[in-house]
Amino acid sequence: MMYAELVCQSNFSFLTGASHPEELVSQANSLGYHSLALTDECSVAGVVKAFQHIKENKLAIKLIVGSFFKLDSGAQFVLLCPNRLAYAELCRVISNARKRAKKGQYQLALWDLKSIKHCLILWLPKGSLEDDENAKWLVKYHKTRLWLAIKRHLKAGETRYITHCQQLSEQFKIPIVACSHVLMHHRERFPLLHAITAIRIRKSIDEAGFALASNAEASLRSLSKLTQLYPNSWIEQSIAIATLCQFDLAQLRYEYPQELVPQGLSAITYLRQLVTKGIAVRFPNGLSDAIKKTIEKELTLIEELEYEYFFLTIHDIVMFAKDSGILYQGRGSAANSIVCYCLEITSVDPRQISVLFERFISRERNEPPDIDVDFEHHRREEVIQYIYQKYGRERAALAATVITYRLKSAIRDIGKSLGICQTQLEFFIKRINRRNQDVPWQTQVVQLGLAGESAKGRQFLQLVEQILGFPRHLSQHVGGFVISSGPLYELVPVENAAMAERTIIQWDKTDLESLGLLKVDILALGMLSAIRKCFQLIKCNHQRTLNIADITALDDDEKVYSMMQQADTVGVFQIESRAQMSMLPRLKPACYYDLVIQIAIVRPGPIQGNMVHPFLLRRAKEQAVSYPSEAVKSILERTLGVPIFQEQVIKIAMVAAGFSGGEADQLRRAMAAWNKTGELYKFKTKLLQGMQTRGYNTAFAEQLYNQIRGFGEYGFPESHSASFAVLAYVSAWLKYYYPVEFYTSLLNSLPMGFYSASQLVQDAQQHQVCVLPVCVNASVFDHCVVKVNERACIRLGFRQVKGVQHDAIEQLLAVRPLKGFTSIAEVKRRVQSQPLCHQLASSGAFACLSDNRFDSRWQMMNQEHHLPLFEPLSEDQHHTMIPSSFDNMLEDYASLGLSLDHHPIRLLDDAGLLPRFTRASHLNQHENRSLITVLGLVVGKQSPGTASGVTFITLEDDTGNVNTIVWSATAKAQQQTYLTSKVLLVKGMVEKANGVAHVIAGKLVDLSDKLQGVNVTSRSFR
Amino acid sequence: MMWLYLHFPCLQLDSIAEDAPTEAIVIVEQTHNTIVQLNDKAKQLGVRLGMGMATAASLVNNLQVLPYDSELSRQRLTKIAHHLYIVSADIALMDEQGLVLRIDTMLKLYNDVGCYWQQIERDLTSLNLTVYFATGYTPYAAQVLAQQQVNVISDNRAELKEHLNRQRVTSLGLSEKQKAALQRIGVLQVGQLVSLSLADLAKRFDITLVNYIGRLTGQLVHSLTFFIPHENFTAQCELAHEIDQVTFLNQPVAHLLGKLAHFLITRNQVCSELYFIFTLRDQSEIKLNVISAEPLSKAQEWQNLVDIKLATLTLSSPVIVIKLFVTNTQAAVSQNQDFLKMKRGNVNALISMMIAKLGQERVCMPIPTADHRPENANRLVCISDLSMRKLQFEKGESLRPSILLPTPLQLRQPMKILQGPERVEAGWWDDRVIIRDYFIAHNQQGQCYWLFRDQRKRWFEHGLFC
Repeated sequence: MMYAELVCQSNFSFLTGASHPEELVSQANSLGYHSLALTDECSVAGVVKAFQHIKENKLAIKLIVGSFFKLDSGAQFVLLCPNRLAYAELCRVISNARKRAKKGQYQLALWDLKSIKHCLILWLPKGSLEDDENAKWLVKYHKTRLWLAIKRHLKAGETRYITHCQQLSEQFKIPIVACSHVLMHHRERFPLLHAITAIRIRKSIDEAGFALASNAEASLRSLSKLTQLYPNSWIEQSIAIATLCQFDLAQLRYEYPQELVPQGLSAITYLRQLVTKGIAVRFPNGLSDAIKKTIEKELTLIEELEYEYFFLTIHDIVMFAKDSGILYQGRGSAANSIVCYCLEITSVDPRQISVLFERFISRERNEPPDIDVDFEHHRREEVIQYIYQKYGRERAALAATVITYRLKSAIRDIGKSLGICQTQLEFFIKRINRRNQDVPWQTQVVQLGLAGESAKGRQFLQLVEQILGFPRHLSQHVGGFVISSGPLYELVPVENAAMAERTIIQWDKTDLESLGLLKVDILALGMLSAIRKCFQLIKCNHQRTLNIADITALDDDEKVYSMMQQADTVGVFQIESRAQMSMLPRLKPACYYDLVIQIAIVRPGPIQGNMVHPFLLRRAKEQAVSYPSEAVKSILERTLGVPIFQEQVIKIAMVAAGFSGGEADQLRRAMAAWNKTGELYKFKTKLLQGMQTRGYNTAFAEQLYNQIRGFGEYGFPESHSASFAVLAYVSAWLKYYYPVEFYTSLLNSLPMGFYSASQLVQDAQQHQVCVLPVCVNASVFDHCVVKVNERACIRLGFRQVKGVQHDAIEQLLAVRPLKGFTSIAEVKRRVQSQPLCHQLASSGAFACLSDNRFDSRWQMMNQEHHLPLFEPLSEDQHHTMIPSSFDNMLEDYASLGLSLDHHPIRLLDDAGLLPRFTRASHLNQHENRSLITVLGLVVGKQSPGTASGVTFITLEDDTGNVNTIVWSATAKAQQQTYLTSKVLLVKGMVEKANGVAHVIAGKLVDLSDKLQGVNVTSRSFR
Repeated sequence: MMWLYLHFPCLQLDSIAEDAPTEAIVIVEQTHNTIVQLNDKAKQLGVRLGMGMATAASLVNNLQVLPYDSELSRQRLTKIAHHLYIVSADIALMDEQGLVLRIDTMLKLYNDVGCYWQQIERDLTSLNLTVYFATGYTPYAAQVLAQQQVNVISDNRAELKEHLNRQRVTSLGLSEKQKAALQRIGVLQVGQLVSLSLADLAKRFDITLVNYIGRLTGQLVHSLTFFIPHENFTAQCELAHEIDQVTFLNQPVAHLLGKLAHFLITRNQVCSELYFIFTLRDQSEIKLNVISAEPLSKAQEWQNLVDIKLATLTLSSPVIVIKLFVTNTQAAVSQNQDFLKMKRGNVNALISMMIAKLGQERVCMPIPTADHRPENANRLVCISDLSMRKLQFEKGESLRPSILLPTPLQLRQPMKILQGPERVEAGWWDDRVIIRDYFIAHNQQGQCYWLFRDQRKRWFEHGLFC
């Protein structure tokens, strides 16, 4: 006896289904089901995962696509898709239902079903008098595609219900089909089903009462059991329906927008034309044979795999950005494509890196290419609006991101459902160290006080573990757009996102990849905004027009690289972090490719793979470089025999171990997921044997495998690093040659990067850049470059004042006299916004009118309304509080987040409130291993996962930053000081190497009480 | 005027800390997860007030964390006020942690502030609570000093002013926004603030700040609602003749009940519990409490219940004095005159009589519980725990027998199944697991039974249908 389950909800019916789609299809297959219809509620969010799982594991079961609905009236239906047209119809119904309601909900009435022409309808009667009316209506409009689905969950009154349904069937001639309305793949998920029900209705399980399922029958049941529950005819009907359903998700074909190709031309012809134009721009001195060959190879493959429109679509978008003066840069695997370079999608010159086109597209991969394009973060919205305007909201939508249960949320929700006190749950959540891989979270929770052996404790641990990874809701992807030639809702349902004017499809990027649907990532990058602003300022102040290509076309500038080698890289893209700054003096990048390596090497992958040290030794010529073969040499020569990039690993696997392109790509995926799945182990034998067969010795093979393992998911693709290196070099070049414009642009582009405005301003001042304060008569909203005595200075803008609104500033600028305000009273009279006046007063912006900001604010706060005629008669007394330097510094930090004149440490030192200490600027004067005392504001704390519990604390004084290293034992022994200090004194030892100095912390002393009132926020990094 | 403020920062903690003096305990306010109370052990280990729970938990390994219960704090504060009311007249509750007592009116009874404070201190010691204190010429002034743990008892205006002026503006009872705004004009200390004229402040700040400062400095009147202990009813009847038979107690009891009724009705109040104390000739006492299921005020209604209770009394000696007192009264709510609802009132009277006869703890009522398990479908709740108006019953859809056997019996007779199975699987969460298939069946006599088959395929009778 064969059976097809036609009503089944996975956990993509959020907080209703208790099993993953993969688990459902696996279990149904094991039970010998003919088919399984995945019918999540008003959604097809789970179907691709089920489809992919069946495909990868070659399961025999057939997947049917459908969806379950509850109408406003309470009636319940399932729509199934027998063919492509029905699928489009289903997507349309879901989209309409979702769009009418707010995010996460839907609205459907009976008349919505009237227009159904292709879907099959399974009706689940309520068991009430209403059923007659519904039956009449359904038979009238959908007689030939209608069934009455009966589920047996062994509930009370079922006999009566079945009799009622049989009467309906007889009266209205609707055939009956058996179903189980499955919510879990196995009955062992029953407790979890109860837990998610309780979570959904916001009660504990104890209080949930009859909302809980009375038994576990809503699970996939064995065929023998089903035959006992249902008459054969009902079961056979399920097969009959399943047989009608021939729609397969593989039939979904991606149709790109057609309007991009001019009339009379084919897509490939047009693409070739554009590439030819691009060659003239990118290779003005002509092409080498190798590059010509590669371009032809790429174009042939693009045509063969029918990706022409994809490239044309992206080209169109970047051309819009270019014409609008919006900086952009393609990155990721696309940088391996010379065609992308010619189309101006990417900026990485392929002559400068070792491209691997197969990393981007290959026949074996059978996946669409993935192109990420970064745009200026302040102008990305213009690009998004362009896409919406050009293609319409019907044809363009963002991909979804599935928000799943992580440990924190799982503990919270499961704990509440079991009635555990909220305070205790918060206690667990705050104390669990998720990065501690030696102690699993279960053990940690027990150590924190959960009674692990009690029944409730065991239930808690089990349920939390089960719910981890369960989807909670759909959110919008950061910038992944799907654009199609026809209405998107015929391809995949579209629903409202939380953000206004945004719609998302119900599939995430993994689903899109699985189905071969193309997505364009429209991402935002702060540094692009900063660079563009810098170019504008340079044009304005120096009458010089620059773009990224102009700078990269210049030869490698020694002075710029020298600056990098001294780790003078605050504000420079990708190489400004503490870790990067420690590496720069050791690696000493001197050319573009060095920078590519620099960016890629300071990452957990190379660190854990033990590649960093060998590379540095070889670079310093302290270790000989050798290669086991010429083939390997050609791959690793650029990195001195040490694999640093993902592409190198793939190439070695292909060249040295005989992997095909597709196998190598599977290896890449396994590397990316190995921490989660351990799949990498499967490749060990093939790698080792392959290399040994080709004459490589075991030691080399083992070493390479271990390096790959260490790489794990943290390896950087070379192309990615290469794209970033372009921006790193450009930003460094701008810092060196146009520092005033550079810092101004960075400040105008915040928030971005590693450093706060305060740190950027301090770095600017340390580079002898003059920074002028916010001034009511001289500033505008943005920071700008001004000339004072022929010297270029940065004039801080009003945007730096906390709480200031752009509109209020516009109004101030509109009423500001040409020669400026002459008194506080005049400002007060002319400027409408009271809050703005208060904010400016506190920030010291009225320094040109009054040297007492307390009094300025006092005057501003007077709300008594004066007519101008009597104003002199009614002036009230001036405020008697006169701010000291310390007060001014506190006010600066409170209002601006920085202080130009007074660093807190300088003031405290001048007041004699600090013990003797060494300033950052003098750190290098100390010998290696000498004892030292340093102190400063705690502005950064970093505890990298690779650092075995070590914390790097950055202390800022008035001359710069000191990097201190705090071992975990030190931190533990002085925990309070370590955790809570805002001003920290460290007694320790200097560690100096290659011009980089750190302080190994010994004694920690909290000096925070000396600085009450200053809000110093330390950034914490992992 | 002069005031004493008592600040109790650890009202909730003080009640539990005694049991675990060696453990670090904190009370956490749940909205922001910040520490609002902590014991000395926690302080020693670096935890501070206002600290986030995450930081506190990182500092102390075995930190005991409890959620803040504002209602509990308020109740304790009321009890303290009640306690102090014996020695001091004008007491007002200010926020959840403090009491302010008016001193100047009490100086007629106590010679000076010192003596007054001695009495208060003595009374407070018996309560064993953490308390900080201060005097002031306004309630707010005293409050600020006490909250800052100044612990000053003085009637010297200059001295108190000096103390107050030294305090930081952040210690005042202003909003965070107001405090920040004052800092922005350089006003960091109370002395700086009070030196500014109210008129100037009024031009710049909202009225709440102006009022606060005015009340702090005494420029504006600060009217308080003083604590009034709950009015109790007490009446006593000294008998002209000793009564040695219970039946003769009815008349004097009726007289007392009449007074009670008058007391309640004139105040539009009702009560649910009476306490009698019968003093016997041999100076021993018999205590009797009478409970009604619903609040009453009429003498006759109470008489019916008291009579039942009196019937249980045995007098070892004649009664010479009868005292009646009531401690808990509440406002009378007008009874529903709906004819259909009158039946409910009869039930309450019946329940009252049962309580009177049997005692409150022996009168229980079954209420339905929303649970699939038949054994859990009802539970008995003691009448004293039940508030009749608050019950809401969730109705299940399953058909259930009229009679459920307390213990299922093994099937004893042949049955024919009419309906089923209804599978019930529940109880994994409270360790009362059942997995049963229920059926409705009838025997040869036509009686309908509710049967079940368990996992071991054994059959049981569990109920009968009417």
